[in-house]
Amino acid sequence: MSSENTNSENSGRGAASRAAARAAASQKSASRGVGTGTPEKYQSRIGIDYSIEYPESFAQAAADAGAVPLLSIRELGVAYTTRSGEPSAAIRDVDLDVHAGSMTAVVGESGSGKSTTAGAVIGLLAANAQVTSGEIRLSAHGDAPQLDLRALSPREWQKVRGARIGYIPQDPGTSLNPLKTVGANVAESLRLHTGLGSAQRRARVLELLDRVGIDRPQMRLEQYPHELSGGMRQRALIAAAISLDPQLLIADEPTSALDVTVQKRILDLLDELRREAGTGILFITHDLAVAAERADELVVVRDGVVEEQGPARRLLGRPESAYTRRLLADAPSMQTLVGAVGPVRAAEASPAPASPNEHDPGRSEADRTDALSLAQESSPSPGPSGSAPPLVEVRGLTQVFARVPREEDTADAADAATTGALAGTAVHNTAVHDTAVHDAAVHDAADPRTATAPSSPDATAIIGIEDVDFTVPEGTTLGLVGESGSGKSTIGRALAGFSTPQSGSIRVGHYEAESLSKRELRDFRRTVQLVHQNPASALDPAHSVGASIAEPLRNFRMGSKADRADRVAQVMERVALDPGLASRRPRELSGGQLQRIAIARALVIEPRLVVFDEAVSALDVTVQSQILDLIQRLQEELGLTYVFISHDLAVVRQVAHTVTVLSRGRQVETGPVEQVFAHPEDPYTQRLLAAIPRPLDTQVLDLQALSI
Amino acid sequence: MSPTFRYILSRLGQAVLVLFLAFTLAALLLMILPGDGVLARFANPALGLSADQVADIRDSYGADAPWFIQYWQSLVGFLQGDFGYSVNSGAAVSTLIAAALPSTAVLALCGFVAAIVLAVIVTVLASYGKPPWLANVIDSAPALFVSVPVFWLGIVIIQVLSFQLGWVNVVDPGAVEALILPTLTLAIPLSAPLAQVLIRAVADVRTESFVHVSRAKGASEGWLLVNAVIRNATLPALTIAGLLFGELVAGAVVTETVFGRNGLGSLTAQAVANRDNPVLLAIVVIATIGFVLVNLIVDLLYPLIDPRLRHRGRVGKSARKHLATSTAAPAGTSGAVGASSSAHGSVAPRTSTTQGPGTQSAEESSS
Repeated sequence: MSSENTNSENSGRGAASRAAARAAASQKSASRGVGTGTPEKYQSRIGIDYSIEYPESFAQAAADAGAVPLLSIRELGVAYTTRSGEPSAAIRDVDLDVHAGSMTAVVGESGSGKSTTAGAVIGLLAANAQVTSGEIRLSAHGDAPQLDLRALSPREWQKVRGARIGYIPQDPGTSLNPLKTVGANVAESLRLHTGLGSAQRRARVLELLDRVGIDRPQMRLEQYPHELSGGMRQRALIAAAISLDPQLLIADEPTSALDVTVQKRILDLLDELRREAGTGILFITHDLAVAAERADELVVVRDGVVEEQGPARRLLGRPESAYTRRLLADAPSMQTLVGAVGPVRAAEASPAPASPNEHDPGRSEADRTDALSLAQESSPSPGPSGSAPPLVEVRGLTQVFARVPREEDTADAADAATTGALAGTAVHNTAVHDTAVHDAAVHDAADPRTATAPSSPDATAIIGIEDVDFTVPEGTTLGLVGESGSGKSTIGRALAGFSTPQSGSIRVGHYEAESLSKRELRDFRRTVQLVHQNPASALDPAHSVGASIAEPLRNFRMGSKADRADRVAQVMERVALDPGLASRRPRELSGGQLQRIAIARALVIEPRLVVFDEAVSALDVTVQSQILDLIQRLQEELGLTYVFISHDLAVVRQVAHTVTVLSRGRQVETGPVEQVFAHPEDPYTQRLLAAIPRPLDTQVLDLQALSI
Repeated sequence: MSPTFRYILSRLGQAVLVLFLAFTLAALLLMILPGDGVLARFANPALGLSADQVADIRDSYGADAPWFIQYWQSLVGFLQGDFGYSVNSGAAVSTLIAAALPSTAVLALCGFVAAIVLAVIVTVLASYGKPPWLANVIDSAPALFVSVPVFWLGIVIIQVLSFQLGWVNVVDPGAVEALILPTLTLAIPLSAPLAQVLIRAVADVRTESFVHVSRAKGASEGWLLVNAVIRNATLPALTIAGLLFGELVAGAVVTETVFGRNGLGSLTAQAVANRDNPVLLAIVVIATIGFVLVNLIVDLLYPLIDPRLRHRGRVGKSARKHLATSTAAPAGTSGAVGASSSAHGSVAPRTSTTQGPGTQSAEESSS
């Protein structure tokens, strides 16, 4: 028990350590720092010292050793031939190096050309794309000669891909051949490049699966991809990529499709690989926080041009380009560090530009916190402690689709445990990781012997939700947080009246959502609106967006045709869109504009409750930030109540007043957002928070530096 | 009972149900039609039979019994393997069928295999052919073939291959030689939809992430075709192949007529002309059995090809994953999402219950 306490102490420190060092004024953080002795000497399990006195990066170390970069790109240009035959440049003048054992991250929003860069390096550009200028060189490696990658013939490329350059794809869900066993998938490179017999291949695959931390490799070998969890699949893909000890790994958004705790473990694995094997990693990502946390060198690209590049630490501490500053400012996880107590939301929501005080770097965290809570109290939207009865009241909500034996869940726990074991063999180990594993063990009922007893509710995993309680006061936002499969969308659907729960009650206003007659349901739908993740698929491509917005009005027979047009124009203005866009089709608008349209459609019939189901998850970070601002402004202007469903803790922290954390269909924690984020009580919440990428120097980052 | 076994059992049950429904529908429709074969044959004034004699004959065929008696009698007869007697020739229907079936079965099998071979050739050429313009031309060929009527194609093939080029003898040909042209006639229109689906499936699979990953491992296009693309593209084509069986039967009727072959097709044509209901009913049942069997095989092949479709009895990980993704997707579009699950290279498993009768009745109307 005492060790558990120590662990959770360490977890707290690990979770908030760097922030804690800065937010020393925060009482709790300070006490945690004291509890563990030397907070500055925090060591990561991959051996990077994350302390304030940050040591030389791998890249610098390599450069000092006089090593040539493993991959060297100079003035690279790639152009796409458009339908009209005009070449259009996708990237221009990109320079970057990847050194042995180090990670260079190319960061950019969609369409920035980051994936094109990766494609050029591995010689797999789209059919209509071509490298037009520059050079790409791969250094000599053992017996293998130095290569000019631009000059390779298709046949030569086939010898280089897989053997000298490994590729880790974005979506583990679709990147393994579903009809082949995991073993056969991993063995592909061996079949292609070596003359190994099937027994030798099998032995090598077992070794690889074990290497990447897949438990029970003998069993996994025979399983099919769909029988593995997302994290496990990504491990298998990494095993395939490293099967021939390539000198360079290209990781193309390797964790974007994964839950945050899984993401952390995969990133740890990559760190470990490059440390142990000296593999260089070219890391492609849209997530500045991930890049900043893990990479040695950052290359920020925008519209095919490098905006800024340099050592990660320098770039984060003193971003030179306005675009980088904006990216930093817009990335939710960059600003909403766990250590920074107090709702960022209130600051964000304040209509006027931030007060001059905000820019005072000398201001202590505690002062700011006070100011922020004051700001929140004085803000027009009543806080969660309002005395009026809450608009939404959910009691004992249960909707279980299936109960499944715990086996597959212990697999996830084992996933964590194995990483822990691996970490043990690695050079360094950290308290935070141990804690994560321990928490996983506690939470997932790690003892497999208890796993098969179906009588105890904890022995089975739930698909769906069970016994969820929460209330949402009028005019506030509840954040529903959880990883995939946690049941958060099920709650959203039940709230919006799309499904009748098996038991429990949902009250919205004066409606009892679980027992509505057909007529009541119609009225109820005017009270609650749902906004989905993907506006492009939620809007009818054949209709103009104006018609889509007017659709609810037509359905409820509200107003004449002219009235409706007026309403559509009004609501479009409200979401900061030019009403002139009403005649456009969805495909003519950008993702951000479409999400504004979707929000406009939800608002046009003046609901009281809006359920956002991952409404900003598919958007680029700058667009995401704009939509979040919009959502908050609308809440203040219209007194709306929100339920905001997201897997992204940082986003939830930014918009929500209260938060409910879900894990595998069960509610593990609920409370005011500041409290849950600052002092998470449930081990799962702690684990979730600990997994948020934390760039090294964010402490140094200040609102001042971020002012654009 | 293992889930696989239970699955096969439920599939078999469905097959029997389809068979029963097809029989019932065909029997009732044939009875509802005004007039019957007995009238058509014996009331002919040229035979000079009196009204009483005709009534006696009608009585001996049971032609005037209420429909449910007739239906019950033929149902019991079919269950006992007794198909009754042809109104037209008086021969036992089972004898007629036994004589006609082998020739048609051989033709159908050859046509089917030839169609698959043709479709694969067209697919490979359209997907990997060089130069690109040639691939494009071949890509559009199936659309042309699918719209060509079988009888016209048969005539053109005879005209060109036999009379002009003299490659194949149509007058008094050998057993194998006699099969070549009908097979070709049957296969070309059949291969067209198959090729269309295959080309599309191959194009889809080639853009799949896992193919890209294999390419990044150093695989050549040829290696990918053999090791990754073919199996994944087979699934949708398999569905079409099962459905095409109905077309095969319809095609056999025309082909056998055009080439003057004796078989189930020509038997059908005669039976329709003579309103020979017992023969028609037997043919319908036999065609349905064939259709149901082929689709049963297709359904049982799915899980063999795609491991994700195995063990569908329990809520396994795949279901859980599916649930996770579908709940993550916007609720309002879940229908579309379900339909686009082919993004994972799979085809929603279909039930032959919904297809069987539909195709069957279409086939009936065509015959």
